[in-house]
Amino acid sequence: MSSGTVTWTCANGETVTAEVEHGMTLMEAAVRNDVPGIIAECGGAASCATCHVIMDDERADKVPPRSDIEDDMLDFAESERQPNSRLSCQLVMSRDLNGVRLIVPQGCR
Amino acid sequence: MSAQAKAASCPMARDHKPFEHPGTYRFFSRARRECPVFFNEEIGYWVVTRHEDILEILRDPATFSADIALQPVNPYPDELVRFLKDSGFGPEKVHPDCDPPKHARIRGIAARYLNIRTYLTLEEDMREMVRGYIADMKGKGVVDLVDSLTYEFPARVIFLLFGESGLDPRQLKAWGTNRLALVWGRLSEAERIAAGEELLAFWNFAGGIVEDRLENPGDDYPSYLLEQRNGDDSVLSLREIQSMLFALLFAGHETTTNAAGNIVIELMRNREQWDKLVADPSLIPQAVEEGLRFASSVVAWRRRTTRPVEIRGTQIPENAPLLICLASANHDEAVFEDPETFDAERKNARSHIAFGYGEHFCIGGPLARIELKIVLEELTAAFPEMRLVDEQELEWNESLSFRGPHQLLVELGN
Repeated sequence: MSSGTVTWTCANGETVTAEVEHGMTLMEAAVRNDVPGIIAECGGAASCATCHVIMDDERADKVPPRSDIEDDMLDFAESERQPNSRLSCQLVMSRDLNGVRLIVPQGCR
Repeated sequence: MSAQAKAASCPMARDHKPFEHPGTYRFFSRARRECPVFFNEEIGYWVVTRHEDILEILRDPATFSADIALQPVNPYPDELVRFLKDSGFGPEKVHPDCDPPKHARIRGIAARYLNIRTYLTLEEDMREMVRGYIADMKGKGVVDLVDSLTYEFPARVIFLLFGESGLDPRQLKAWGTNRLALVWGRLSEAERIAAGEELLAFWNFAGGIVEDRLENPGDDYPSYLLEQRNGDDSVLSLREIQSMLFALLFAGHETTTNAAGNIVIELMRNREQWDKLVADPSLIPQAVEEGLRFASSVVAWRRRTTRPVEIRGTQIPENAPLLICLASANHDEAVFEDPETFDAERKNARSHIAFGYGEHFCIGGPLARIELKIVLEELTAAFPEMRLVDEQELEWNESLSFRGPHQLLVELGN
């Protein structure tokens, strides 16, 4: 199975970098790698907004657009929504995302 | 008992007392090792005890239906069923106990109001409430912390969401306790029949709010639901709205009252942990998570299999009721190091599933967290020397799902 790296950066600048298999959601990858601030209480159902991440700009158009439910939930995330905000349970690792950088607004608080 | 059930039951399963709380953590520690999935003959449920297995179940609502989550553990006597039916009692299945695809419709609408953003707007009001209770406690030597604070407070928070300020929180608590005993308790037939009147009154109270807000809309959850409905039954029916209010009026405070009592007990028993919070209140949110993990107020929840399944080598038939033991999962050694120790600074405390997991994850969880945080912040600030009164016998509900002290005597030390 091919894979690529993902880097999460939290509020205080701390980073976690991990090798993530293609096909895995970025929420699952964060949970497996103990990324602070990715809680994912709803287990990937896009209904808790506790896996909120902000994508680095140049990758944001490489992923499928938000569904209505994801769009709604982002409005209710604990940290203010940004233009490139996503629920990471809805993002699937792929070749296009190799090396992607994600900001975790609720991390390391 | 079916052959499958027999094969799966372990000798130690006989020690499982599903309605009693003392000794439960000791029992589950053994069960997780010796028979992590077993059949309980007293209630006729398959019992699941490990964190990993429970996550699998909660992740898969198609295989594990939520439709029995709020049903009476012991079916109601015929007389009660008839009475309720003739009186118009009849909640619809809504977000706690409906399955896909309906669940997405109902929960989606509820979550646009019941979310952290709304809850945070109530924080100041909640703190004022707690300060009011604490002001009344000051100067007293010994108080019952449940009666003085944790009993009423969460009910009044729910009234905030309903835009109500003049209602009696003790009436809501009494209705909640009545429903809890009827559905999750072990009442006699006569007691259950007698409890029907108040269950009906509770349901009608929710109906009265719907009727009132149809005439007098305000800035509150019931009015929001009616606005979303906009007269369209395919969005939400009036009965669904009444059922959603009925759900919140119950689930929104029983659990938080219990959680607050449970956490304070553990902090008092682990004095050095309390002292840490007194010295550094920034540890409180993490301590709340550890309290939810260590002494969960919802100890078990229910699901029903929609097809035959195998869980950890145990065959379970279709249409079988499951008791998923959240409290046991929260003490699972496979996830939590040294799980029987209360550690307010435990790194992965928040891996607990005290609020469930998956698409039915407790919609009020973020609200409960704020309430519990405020309670601990205000108590540690006002009564740093607070202690449990020695030699009190703590009493718990007889309940399949809910655990919390009836009374909690503390010396305030002020």
